[in-house]
Order: sequence, then structure tokens, then C-alpha cells
Amino acid sequence: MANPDTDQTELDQIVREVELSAPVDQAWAVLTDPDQLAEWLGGEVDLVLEPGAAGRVTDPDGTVRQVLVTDVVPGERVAWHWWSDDDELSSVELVVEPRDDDRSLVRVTETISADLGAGPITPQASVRSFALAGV
Amino acid sequence: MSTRSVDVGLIFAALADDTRRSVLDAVAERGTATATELTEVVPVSRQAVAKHLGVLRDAGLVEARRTGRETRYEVRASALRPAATWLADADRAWDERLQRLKRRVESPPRP
Repeated sequence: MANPDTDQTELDQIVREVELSAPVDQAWAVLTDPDQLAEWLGGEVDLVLEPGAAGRVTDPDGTVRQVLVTDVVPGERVAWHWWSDDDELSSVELVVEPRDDDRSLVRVTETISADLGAGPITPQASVRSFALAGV
Repeated sequence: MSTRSVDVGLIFAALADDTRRSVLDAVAERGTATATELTEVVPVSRQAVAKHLGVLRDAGLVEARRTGRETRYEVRASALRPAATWLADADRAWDERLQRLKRRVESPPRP
């Protein structure tokens, strides 16, 4: 693989990527369009990709995930935390990079939070409590 | 939280620490080991090793057997299954999402 980052195998993390026959701005526009989010994320989506925005994604199997958007860099990256009642909180980062010939690459990294329910209060756990409190 | 997710959380928490991973590796290499034996391979005190073993045991990654005065630990390989399941599920879900995104970007629906 071209990017050394994607060669790493972490036990608590997955990295997937896809190359698109479209430039970054076109990929970014679709990726972040609120009206198209449900089309590719799947299920029902009530989410706006803006920093600090709280939303909700309902998977086709009925799993409801709360989402808290943590970072948006237009044309480059979007990151969020999401969690459901019966699953761990995990962090998602989507990065869009330019490739030759007006192509682009979308890479997603999802990292499961290690400490929820087990260890000390983590920043992620604090974010979760914060969000559950109704932010 | 379901039993499964608590297990996954404990497992990932247990594996998040480098020293603890070394302790687990050392137990796996030896088949069985006591806390005292492990201080020879991991550069921390016996007390610290015992604490790490406790966390690994709570996560179900090792089990303890008492023989006489000794407590011997061994690895429970099957305990990693919930973690592997989470990774496989996340892999598949994102492959599907990225393929849908690709289709959407490359052939946008006509208005």
C-alpha cells in the first residue's frame, strides 16, 4: 500500500479506504451533504457535519447511534465520536486526499475507546457524559 | 450495556497498556507463569506484575490456577474473540459505506 499508515495493524482500530474517480471537492461535497449522508452511511441519519454538532444515526438493523462531531476541516477531514446503548464508544475519522488525474482517496479510521466502563474517566468518556446530558 | 460490549471494553482497556501486553506475551510464550517468574522478563516490580495480571484476569485474558502456595497464570486465547468480532464488523460496515459513497460520488443521481 502506498501510505505507510495503512500498513499498521492495531488491535483496537480499523482503517479502510477507497479511491474515487472524482476530485476532492466533488468527493467532499457528497460526503458532507446532509441530504446525502443517509444514502452512503446507511439507515436513517439525523446529522449535520459541523464541529460540536450532536446527531443520531439509525443503522438498517435498528441500532441507534448517538453522534458527536468533534472536528471538521473543509475539504480535508471530518471526525466524530459515536456510540449506541449496547456498544462501545468509538472515534471515526474520515480523510479526503487528492490523487493524480483528478482522483481522490477517502480513508476512514475507526478506533474503539479502551476505557469506557472499565478504567478511569477518559476524555472520550467525558465527551459521552457531556453528550448524554443533552448537549 | 450488554455483556458482550463490557467484555470488549475490558479487553481493549487491558491491552491498551504496553507493559501489560508484555506481561500477556510472556505468559503466552511460557505456557504458564507465576508473577515472580514474570518479573524476570518484564522490567517492573512483582507487585506491578501482579496488578497487571489482575487486570488481564478481569478481562478474561488470563486465568489463574492455585497449586499449593503458587498461583500460576495461563492465557485464554478465546477471550480475544469479542475484540476480533468488533474489528470484523467495523471493517465490513465501512467497506459497505465507502462503496456506497463511491457510487454516489462517481455517478450522482440526475435531478
